[in-house]
Amino acid sequence: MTEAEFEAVYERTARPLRAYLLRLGGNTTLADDVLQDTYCRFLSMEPAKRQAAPERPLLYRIATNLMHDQFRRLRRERRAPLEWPPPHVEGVGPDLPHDMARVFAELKPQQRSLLWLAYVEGWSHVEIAAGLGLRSRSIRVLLFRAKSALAQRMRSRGLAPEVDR
Amino acid sequence: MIENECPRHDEVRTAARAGVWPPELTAHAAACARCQETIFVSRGLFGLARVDAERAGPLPDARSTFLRSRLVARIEEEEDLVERAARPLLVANLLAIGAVLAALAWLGGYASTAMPELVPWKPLSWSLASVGLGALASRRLIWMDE
Repeated sequence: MTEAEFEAVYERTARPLRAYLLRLGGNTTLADDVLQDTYCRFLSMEPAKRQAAPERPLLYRIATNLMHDQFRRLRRERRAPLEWPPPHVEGVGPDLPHDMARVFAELKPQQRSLLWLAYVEGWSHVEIAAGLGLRSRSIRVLLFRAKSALAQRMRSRGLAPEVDR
Repeated sequence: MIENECPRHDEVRTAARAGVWPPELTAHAAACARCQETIFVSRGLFGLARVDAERAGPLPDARSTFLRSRLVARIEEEEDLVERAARPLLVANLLAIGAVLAALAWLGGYASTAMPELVPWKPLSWSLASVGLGALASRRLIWMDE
């Protein structure tokens, strides 16, 4: 891949990918490190493999795996359960009245990935499955559980209305 | 109890993203608890994404990312070359150790048969003891090598 081709891919994909990584990892430094590693891995793939899969789910899959590696490494280094959510989740503050960032950070990493890709990125179930390495048939159930978990947390903090079931 | 998502979840999700609500879907969402959840979860996440977008600093430079990937690839290639170059040495090392262990086993057995007054144990015990000592020594040598 030439530098110009890479720049075009980067232009198309880097901004939403960084937003996703920021919400998955909780801070900008980690998100930027993983972002760069993701593109390094992407470029080091054999061209045939790289071209065989759609670029967007492929990049998100690499990025998600790298972020999970980071979580595992942090857990190993601390030799203790990873503190989650991290003490300083970016996006929490007086200018975000609903404190949505902290509520979102309390979810499991896979739930955060599912919700972000489905609701913010607007991906289809097939794309989400390809991006996260899951079976597309299980996305509906997993997404429903993730949404319910977030809705429950939002309600318990008064961030969402009670709804009659 | 297994709860299910509303069958119209994807339509509601799409409408919430686009902000375009057909009247019939609006009526459905107003009466469906699951869809109301979908709507407020969507709004919460959109708000978060909007704040992130407003605050986002500049992206890491594409060119530096490209150059970094080239550098990483070159380093990995060199490491691979070194590993490949060292492989015959490792094989030769293992063969030499195998030969030494075999010689020790033979020598131990021979010594206990030929000189029973000096080496009172059974030949097999001597062979095993010799091989054990040889293995320990070779392990130490390999470890020192690394």
